[in-house]
Amino acid sequence: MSQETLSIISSMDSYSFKQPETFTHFAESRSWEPGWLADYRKECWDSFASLPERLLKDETWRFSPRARFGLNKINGLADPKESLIIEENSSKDGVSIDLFDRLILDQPHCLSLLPKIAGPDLGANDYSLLTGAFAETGYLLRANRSVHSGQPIIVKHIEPEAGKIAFHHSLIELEANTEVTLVEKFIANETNPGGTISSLLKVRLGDGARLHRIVLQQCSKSATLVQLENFIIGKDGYLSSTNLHLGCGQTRVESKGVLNGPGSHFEYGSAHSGDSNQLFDQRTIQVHEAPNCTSNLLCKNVLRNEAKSIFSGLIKVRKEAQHTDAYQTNRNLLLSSEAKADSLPGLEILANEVKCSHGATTSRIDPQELFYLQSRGMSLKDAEKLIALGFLSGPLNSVSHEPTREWILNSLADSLES
Amino acid sequence: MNSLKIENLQASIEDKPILNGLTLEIPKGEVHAIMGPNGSGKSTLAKVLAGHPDYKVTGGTAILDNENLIGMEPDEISRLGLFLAFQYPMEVAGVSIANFIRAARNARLGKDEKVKAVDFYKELYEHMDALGMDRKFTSRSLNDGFSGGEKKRCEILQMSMLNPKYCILDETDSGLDIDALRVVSEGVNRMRNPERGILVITHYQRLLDYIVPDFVHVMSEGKIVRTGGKDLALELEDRGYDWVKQEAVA
Ligand SMILES: Nc1ncnc2c1ncn2[C@@H]1O[C@H](COP(=O)(O)OP(=O)(O)OP(=O)(O)O)[C@@H](O)[C@H]1O
Ligand SMILES: [Mg+2]
Repeated sequence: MSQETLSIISSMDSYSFKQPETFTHFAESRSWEPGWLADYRKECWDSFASLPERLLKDETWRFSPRARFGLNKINGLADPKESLIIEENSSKDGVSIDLFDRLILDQPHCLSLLPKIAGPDLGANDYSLLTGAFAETGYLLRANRSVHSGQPIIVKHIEPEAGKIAFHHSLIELEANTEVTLVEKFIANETNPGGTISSLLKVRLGDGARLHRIVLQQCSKSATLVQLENFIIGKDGYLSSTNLHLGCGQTRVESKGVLNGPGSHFEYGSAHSGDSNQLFDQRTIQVHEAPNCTSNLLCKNVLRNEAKSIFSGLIKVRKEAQHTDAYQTNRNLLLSSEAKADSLPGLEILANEVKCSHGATTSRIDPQELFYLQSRGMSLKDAEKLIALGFLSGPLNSVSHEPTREWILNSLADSLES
Repeated sequence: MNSLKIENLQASIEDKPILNGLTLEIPKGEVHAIMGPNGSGKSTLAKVLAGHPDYKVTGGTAILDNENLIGMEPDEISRLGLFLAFQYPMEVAGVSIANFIRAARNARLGKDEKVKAVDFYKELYEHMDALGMDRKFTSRSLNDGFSGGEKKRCEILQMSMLNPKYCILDETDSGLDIDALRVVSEGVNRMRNPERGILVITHYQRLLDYIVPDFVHVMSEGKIVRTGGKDLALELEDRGYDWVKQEAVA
């Protein structure tokens, strides 16, 4: 065997983000890309490479078994063509959605905003930087004229095969007074489950723009998802993000909502049903930068068996952000004695004219409530399911497009059925 | 065979005996009323029959047609045909009345059968109209923020939709205004038929003007201490419970 083949084999054996060659090889393979993108990738890579070793006491990973998000189980990149799909006929008058890799060829300038908007920066900076460095796909959603039909645009993120990671780097840019509904589905790999998706989304809404975004995650129970997003909302803008997480062995969500222009609103809902030893680790921040803004966050988890959830949320009100109304609620329902929910709500308020509240509760099903349902003929299991369904439907009810709301509620009901 | 037959029923909670050898038979086609002082064990009887896990049955039987309910799971008892309208119905957040009743109906069907939505809503609306309930209620979450009277109407709605063989109404009249009392009583009267036995628990003779019972029983300290016709209720209204208790001891 020649020296050369040997070295190829050994480098394949130990694909690792710890080795500089991993990036240099990748960068060589993308040498046709515009210079600014190459620079951005390099910058991300360098920052990643110089990240300090993991701290023992890292607040941003508090309560989280971080090893479950370790990069060592990864042995290569997923095929970008198979990992992100835009549903046909998704582009409409005034609204366009395109894939990252197609735009790099045709109109790379459209993506130039990508490096300019930061990630949520709530702890998973390794994933965020690697996504910047290695993403070969993602979507760009733009709107410049509003002809909102309520009909959603649909994007599918597909779980790669076991051992592979898919980096999705996406951007949403809505110009003033446009309105779009977007559904993002995260879909399981049926044949060889266990892959990882790292999805980094940056969103900028112009004045009066409205985005309704719905996420349905149904990856396999051995998949890993790192979902990172930063929403920047302009004057009088409205952004709702409604999330239903059902699959994945481990999920890390980092969501940042920035109320950047006066009069804007941020609505965030999340429902998660966890079973076996699923881990759902969610970090959120509502940043009020401008006056007269409102934000409302409701995150609910139902946990069975040894499932575990972590919620850490912060409301941050800057000095200028007078007349802020901000709410944050986390509620957890435990259906077994081994299930565990940790909650870290927080407030940081510098303005003086504000209405803010935060609350977190963790409870078990009231046996009297169970008896009531059973006394109507439902088995104990069905009664638990119905209570769980009722509990989790709260955050999903805010979806205003009725067919989409029904679809998401049915997805939840079906998942509890099985 | 065609009755709910309770014999020498004894039950306790946390080792405190509440039912002390209660005997009562409700044949199909009859309406029986139980009256009795606070704490005499009326709700306990209702919950024990419905299979509440907190109560321990220490003796006796309760035979529904030909099956002993004692030891059965609450859902089994319900599917056998016993319905309990609760004195204090629970709130179930996020579950609409419609979905709740639909789930209860589905529980009575085979594994892969489901009630047809169109037929179901038609029937549901008919019953709601009859009970004077606004159709908007169907999408509200069950008992969540309902007034006392609304909760009671909702219990009767469930009862009409589930078509039980035996109904126990635990103080369904308390908390109802005069009009609601009439509407709810009419709802119960519509369910009176030769194939169904009904037990109403109440403190007020007034209810029995609307739902006229075949028999009235007085319960005290976990036992039936006196049985009479509907006039017994009038007499109790007049004289209170002490004389019954005293005669029972004598
Ligand atoms: N969970 C419980 N724990 C302890 N004691 C209980 C419990 N439930 C009932 N009891 C007791 O059992 C007795 C009977 O109560 P029950 O509710 O059956 O009375 P009741 O006849 O329905 O009264 P009321 O007319 O006030 O509704 C009471 O002394 C009550 O305090
Ligand atoms: Mg009572």
